[in-house]
Formats: sequence, C-alpha cells, structure tokens
Amino acid sequence: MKYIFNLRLNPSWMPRIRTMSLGLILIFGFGCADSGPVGSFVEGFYLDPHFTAQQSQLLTEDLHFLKTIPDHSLDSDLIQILKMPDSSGQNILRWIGLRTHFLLPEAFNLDQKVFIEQHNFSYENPTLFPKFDSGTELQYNHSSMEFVLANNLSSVIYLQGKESKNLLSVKIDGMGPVIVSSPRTGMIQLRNYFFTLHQFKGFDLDGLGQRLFRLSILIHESRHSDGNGVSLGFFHSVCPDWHVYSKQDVCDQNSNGAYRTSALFLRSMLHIHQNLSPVTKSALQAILLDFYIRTDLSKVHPPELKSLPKIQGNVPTVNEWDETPEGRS
Amino acid sequence: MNLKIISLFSCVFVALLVYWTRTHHCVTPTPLVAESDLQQNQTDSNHRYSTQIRSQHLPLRTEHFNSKKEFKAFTQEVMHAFPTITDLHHYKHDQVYFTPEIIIHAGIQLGQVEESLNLNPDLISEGIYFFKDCAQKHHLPIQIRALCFAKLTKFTEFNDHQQLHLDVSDEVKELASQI
Repeated sequence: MKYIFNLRLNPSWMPRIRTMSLGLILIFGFGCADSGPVGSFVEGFYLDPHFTAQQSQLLTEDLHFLKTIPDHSLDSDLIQILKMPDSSGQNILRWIGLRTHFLLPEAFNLDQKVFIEQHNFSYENPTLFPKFDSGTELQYNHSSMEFVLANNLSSVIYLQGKESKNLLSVKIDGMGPVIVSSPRTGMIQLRNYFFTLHQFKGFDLDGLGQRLFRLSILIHESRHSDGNGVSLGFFHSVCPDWHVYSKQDVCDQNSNGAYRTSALFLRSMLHIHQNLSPVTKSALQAILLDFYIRTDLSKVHPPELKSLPKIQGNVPTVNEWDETPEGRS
Repeated sequence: MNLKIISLFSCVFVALLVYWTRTHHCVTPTPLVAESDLQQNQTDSNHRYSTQIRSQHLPLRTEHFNSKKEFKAFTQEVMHAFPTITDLHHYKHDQVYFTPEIIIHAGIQLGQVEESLNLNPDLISEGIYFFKDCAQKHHLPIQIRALCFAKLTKFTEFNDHQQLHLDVSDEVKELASQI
C-alpha cells in the first residue's frame, strides 16, 4: 500500500510511525485494562478478586451446593415465602441470584468508591420511604465492626441515592462502576468473620453445618434487596419491650422478612440433612430458633396476653410485605 | 531523533492520563457530598450481623461420661454457662443482629448432652431432668428453653411427658415445634 488517504508514504516517516504505534499500544494497553485485579464469576455471581483463595473456594462450593438440594425436598413454608414455582435447590439459587450479584470481601471499602452518576434522578415512589425506628442502630462505632458478618450494601446505597435524589454508582474492582438503580443491584459484603464464625473455642461445626449457616446468612442478606416504597430493603424494626432483644432493631414486623426467610431455609435443610452430627444439628437449631423469635412480631403478643384465646383469634394470619423491587436491576 | 523521543514521551503521557482517568471513574468524578452520611446510613440500616465473644469458660465435652455423677456435674456446668435474658439485654445492637455466639454455643452444649444420652442410655433419666429444668427456667432466653423442650420431647414418651408436670408456656412449646 503506497497510498493512504491519497498521501504517499515517505519511507523516512516509518520510524515515527512505529513510535506512534508503540504509543497507541501503550494508550490502549493502559486504557483498556481495568484499574485492579479481576474477580471471577460463579453461578452468575461476581466474586471480588480480593477474597482469599480459601474464601473464594468456600463461596464457590456453597453456591454449587445449592444445586445439589434434591427436588421436592423443601419445606412448603419455604417454598411459599420464596414464592418459588417448585421445590428445588436450583430455584433457591435462582432466588438468591435475582437479589445478589456481587459478593464483596471485608477489604472492600465504600470510601472513594461511590459516585454520583446523575443529579435530580427521578426515582420510583419518590415520596415513599421505609419507616425507621430510632434505635441503637443510629450509633456508629468502628470498634464494633469486628464482629459484623455481612452487609447488603446496595439496598442502603439505593436508599441513600433516593433520599438525596442522586443516582449513585459503586466502583467494583474488575467490573468498573456499577449503577445502583435498584435495591436488587445486589452487592453483599461478607466479612472475614462470616467465614470463621463456626469456630467455637475448641469445637467446629462440621463442614456441612458451616455451609448451611453461611447460606442462611446469604439468604437473609438477599432478602434485603427486596421491596418498594415503605417496604424498600425489608428493613428490621425495634423489638418490643417484652422481647429478649428488646429495644434493638433486630425484629421483623412482617411474615416474609429476612429472619423468617433464613429460619425456614435452615429448618428445611435440617430436615433434609439428617446425617448432621447431633452437636452441629443442635447448634443450627439454636440459630433457627433465634431467628424465629424475631419474626412476624405484629401478630405476636406479650407472653402473658398470648394465652388468651380471644386475642389469638384476632391475630391476622398473613402479614407479608410486597417484595417487588423498585427501579431497574 | 528528538522528534522521536518527544513523540514517545507524549504517547506515554497520554497513556498515563487515560489510565488515571479510568481509575478515577473514566469521567471527572463528582464528589459525593454525603459519603460520610452514606457510611453512617449503611450502619443505621442495620444490614449487619454480629456476635458476641464471651470470655468466661464454657464447658465442652465430646467423650463418654464414666458415671452419672460426672454427667450431672457437666450438665450443672452447662446450665451455669447459659446466658440469661438479662445478659442478652446488655448486648449491643451489633452483637445481636445475628444470633449471639453465646446462643450458638448453648446449642452446641445441648447437642453434646443429647449425644451423651444417645451414647449412654443409662444417663437418660438425668438428661430428662436437665432438659426439664432448663425448659422451665424463666430467666433463660426462650430460644434455649424451646431447644431444651424439643430435646426433652425426644427422650420422653407422650405419657411420660404429661407425668412430668411441666411448667412450660405455650409460647415455648410453639417455638419448639418450629424445629
């Protein structure tokens, strides 16, 4: 080719062309590469590259495990609360996959990772917000974060964006900016403690027990990706005075909240996996019961009143919140 | 030659500029005014789990018990280690968002008692006494009482169950039925 755009190539330009080519390669080399290491996709979930190899392995196995749950083996209450078409592990995986897309490690720090994409963004249900009880959760203490296990970041970021009328995005390594246009953007942060809580001063829950425990937490956090308007995020409420966790906002008013969802998952798994050691089974039963006492509290009365049949008769049987998410995920 | 060097450096400069731009979100970043608020809100919105590390000694046994006396001593120790409702009231929000470790540990200990009875049926009468005592203790958290009641039910026939004259509320029984 002697002519390019009708210009005759001068052989003396060749070194300059080579130099410029090198420069262009550098430009595209740097420009196209992302700013950090790239994570991996497992069953459609993006695993951040900063998980340790062991953590990634555990998460991968946990997600694969869900597919091994036999068909027709799940609790009818679980099928009902998850609104699944049929009873299979694949559907549980799908249910989580609708609500969780990015799994992020403890090292993930929101500082300098959240950006405004658009000011004055028009949100769905602009005047409707979840009702927060003012409780102990309003106090923020860094020292207490050591024992935190998991956060649903995106529903909170979505809420923050909605309150400020700005569309926000979060930069995730290997993915670039992810626009949080729905609570179902699904960013779940898993702390290191999430992977080690099974260790109890000389006793470890067996491998399957640990897996069920982690999955119950993942399901709990996934539930926080649901809701719209007042139900947005399926946030918790302050427990009543007579409750064992009184004045803490770790209770659910609804019958399909995060605590009951994970309790029913655990119950179903305990029924399926009868081969768990009695000790591990008992530990999971304790967790199940602890979740259960926090659920559906709008229809539960103080113990002294609960025995009265008249009051029990007036208790509504269904108190579900609408899980339809706002925005576009 | 000079032109070549200038050209190369220009290209490197542009490349670095592109790299810097990408690492700063490809477009000029908009400072997020409420970033600190966001972090605050993240905490406020209580999407957190936490647990409690308890420093006190907690008994753990996995081996067989050689005598009823030894088993009884163990169950007394287990009972003593259970948290009370008042204990849980002192926990912070972060410590109870997820099941506190002390509750999970109580579950483990109850499982160990149960396992001991499976391994040595001679201990069942002592075990039943322990589970009954635990299910009736009003100062214990309801989830522990319900778990004790569930295990008591496992080791007692229906008729025995009635003869035990249990002082256990419907609430505890109802909760135990959720297992």
